[in-house]
Amino acid sequence: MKFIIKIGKFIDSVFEKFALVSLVGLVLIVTTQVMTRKLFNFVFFWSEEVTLLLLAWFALMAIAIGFRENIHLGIDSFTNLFSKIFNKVLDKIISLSIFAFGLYLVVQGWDFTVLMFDSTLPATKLPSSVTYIAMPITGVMICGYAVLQLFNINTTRHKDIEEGM
Amino acid sequence: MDTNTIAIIILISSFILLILLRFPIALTLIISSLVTVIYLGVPWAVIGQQMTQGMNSFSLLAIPFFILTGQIMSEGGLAHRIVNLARLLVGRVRGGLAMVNSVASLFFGNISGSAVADVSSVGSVMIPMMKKQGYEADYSVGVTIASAIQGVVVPPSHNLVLYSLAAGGVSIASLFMAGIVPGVIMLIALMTTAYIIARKRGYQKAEPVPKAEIGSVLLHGILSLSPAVIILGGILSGWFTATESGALACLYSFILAFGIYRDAPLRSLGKILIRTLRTVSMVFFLIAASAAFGWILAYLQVPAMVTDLFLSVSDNPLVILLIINILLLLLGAPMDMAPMILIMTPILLPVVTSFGMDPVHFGIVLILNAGIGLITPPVGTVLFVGCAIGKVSIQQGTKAMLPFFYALLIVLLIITYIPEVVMWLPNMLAK
Amino acid sequence: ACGNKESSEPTAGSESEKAEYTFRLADNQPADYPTVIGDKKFAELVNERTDGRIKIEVFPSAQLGDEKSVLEQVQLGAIDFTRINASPLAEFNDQFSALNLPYVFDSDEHLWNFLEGEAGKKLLTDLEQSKMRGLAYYDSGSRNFYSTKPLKSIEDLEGQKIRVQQSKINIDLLDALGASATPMPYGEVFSALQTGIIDGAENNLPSLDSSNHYEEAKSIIMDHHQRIPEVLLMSKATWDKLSDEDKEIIQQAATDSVVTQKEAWAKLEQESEKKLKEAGVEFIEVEDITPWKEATKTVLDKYGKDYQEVLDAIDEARP
Ligand code: NA
Ligand code: NA
Repeated sequence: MKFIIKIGKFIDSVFEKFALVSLVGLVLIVTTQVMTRKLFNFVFFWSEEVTLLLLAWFALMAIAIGFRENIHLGIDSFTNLFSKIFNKVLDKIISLSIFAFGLYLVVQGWDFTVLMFDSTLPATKLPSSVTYIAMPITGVMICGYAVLQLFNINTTRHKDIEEGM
Repeated sequence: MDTNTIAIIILISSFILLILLRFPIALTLIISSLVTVIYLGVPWAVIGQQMTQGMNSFSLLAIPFFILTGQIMSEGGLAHRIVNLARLLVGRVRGGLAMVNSVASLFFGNISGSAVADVSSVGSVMIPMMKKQGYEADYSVGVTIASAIQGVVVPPSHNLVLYSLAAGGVSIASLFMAGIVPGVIMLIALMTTAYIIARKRGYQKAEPVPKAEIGSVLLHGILSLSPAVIILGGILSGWFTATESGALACLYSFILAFGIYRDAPLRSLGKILIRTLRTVSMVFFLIAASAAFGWILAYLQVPAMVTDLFLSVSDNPLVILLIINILLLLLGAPMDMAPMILIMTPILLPVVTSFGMDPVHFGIVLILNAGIGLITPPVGTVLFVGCAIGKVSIQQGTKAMLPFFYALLIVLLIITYIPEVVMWLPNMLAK
Repeated sequence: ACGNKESSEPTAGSESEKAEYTFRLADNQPADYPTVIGDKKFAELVNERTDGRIKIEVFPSAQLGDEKSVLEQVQLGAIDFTRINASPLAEFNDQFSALNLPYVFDSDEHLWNFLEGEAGKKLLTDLEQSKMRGLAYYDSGSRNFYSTKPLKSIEDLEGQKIRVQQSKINIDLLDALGASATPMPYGEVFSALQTGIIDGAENNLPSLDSSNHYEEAKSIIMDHHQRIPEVLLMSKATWDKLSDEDKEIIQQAATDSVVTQKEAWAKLEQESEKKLKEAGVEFIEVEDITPWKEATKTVLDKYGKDYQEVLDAIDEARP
């Protein structure tokens, strides 16, 4: 069991690091693009395309991590009027819906990846699928977080880092 | 009933039901879109496709860049240098620290667009300072949160970028120009309100900045403001796109904070990146989900119906604008900034353009409305954070915020009904 | 997808129970643009010829998404029709790239001879592998260079900084003409012309008009370097569920709508030309295309070999 937890945490850390590195990468690529354009009047032909690709990956990964960190909140003014049990059941239903959403990303994302395999991105000539394959991958992560939350396991890893505080 | 009407009912009722059951807003948008799409027999995959498409935009990238710059500025000690500058400029007025607070908020300007980051960075410097000087806690909180709202309208602001995307590519440069005059009016309104209360309660001027320090306060204040200047200058001069300016500002504020000031150790970069990731996560999920929701709205031709509905109520633009403002203020109570912009823009923009309102003008009106929503209960993120920092209850905070809230309402009416206030600068730019 | 729940699959032979459909057609241009006028004509013809059984709702102004997004929706079968430029179709069927090559068509007549011939039609039907079906070509005129500096002959392009769409062919084309290609987003071109970051750009006449670039760029040389048509496309998923009779009606209506679209295009092009001339834009007609062809032969040689069959067909279509 301990071993499984270790592996899970490792995968999760790699996933998060990849997202953070993408963000830094995006800053660097765009800065390079500005520099080459302003100083040498040329732009690497792949830069905009790679930027968009990295952005799609970064965005999807950020969304998945948001589920882990419980960032995607709802409005609880109405549900506060109800009993604790009602809210506990509701928590489970919400976790199940998050799982279903993750599953949707896996299934449809995979279909889409296959569908787009034949078409190419204009500059790099990579298959268009490289964008869409981020969907099933983040889908798997979201499913994982949802299952843990379903079993009342706290998935937040950055409790200490409140936004801007 | 025809298929379209039933589909619209399914879409709206599932949305309301899930929102009431505290489902995350973005997830609600996706689930109600999915249910509708299934009912219509449209392939499910289109929702995923729209989500990905929603994030496939170069201008969207400006948002994480602005947020990251804002985080570096507050973590790296740039925020308190800006406060010092504001103290130098307006500290000697009665109730000086309140003025400092307003000006610092305007300067810090919420590049991040997350007014929450603004209130917590400026607020965590200002509120304790004000309390120490004998200002009541509730007043300190009221001034801080109202001032933070300036940042959403005053450029650079990631919310304006968000609106530009939601409105189908309204010029970011024009929006930034358009935010300047309303920002100044807001500052005047807030400072006047703060001054009146300060007189009534007998608050004093702030301690003067020692003569010997004036030079360095000026220098570092201006240096700390320069990331915002890069973004603004770059965009308004047409030299850089918003995204490019954002990337440059990230790099520049990084060098300033970690190369020159070194208030924070380099390892705090991890914390900065994760905080950025958290805010971006929320905003991006909303963008992706709103893209899917917006698509199904367009597919069902809802915006056209809403326009017809408004025009059937009244054909007087002034009346329609009043209704829209009231609607937005009511929606702003429970809704946060980003969902408000992303959900309401595709629905309301066709209404106002039908009587010739400029999308740039409407953008500023919408965003000020959404900004006011941030300080109104029951869901007011800025209000909550401000109260947490100032250690006052939500009730106290709300009461203290009220005079400023009224001041902001007056500003809202001015910018709604006097288009020149908003459009004067962007029209100059166009010429 | 059909937006009509009550519609049933057509049952073979029973004429009285023909399927009813409501389809959606997406266009990224505004409602009065020639392509949308063509779309509407197509919808009207289909509606007429099926006695209202098949309705096609036209969604102009990119309401359902930009070009790329709408194309994916058509592939998925989420929407049924779209009108898009032929150029991005090269990402699905690379033979379309031949149409992007410079100076391959001598005249409009040459272009339409090719498009309406067998090879032109084959390009459309070959899109079936990508889950879509081309129905007809629409007119989009030709692209020409314009500049803030005088452009009287091919030599004038030398050393000028010209904005092009980001593609290798375009960049090499500008290199071959001795100009310097400056890719940048379309929305930034106007201010870049103002500040002198670029000297010029290239586009068709209505776009030069609507973008207001002519306020800065007062010189246009009509070299017609590219004539890239528009395409009316259909989702293969939608196509496959139609009866043979409906397929024929739709194909014929698409073909018949071309006349209306071309008229609308010609009218708009004339209006733009008139307006541009009144605004003081100087037009230079290129009488002899030979020096342009010779200067850019390297581009054709470099990229043409992959599409030799299409290029041969283009040559044969020369009137
Ligand atoms: Na701002
Ligand atoms: Na609120």
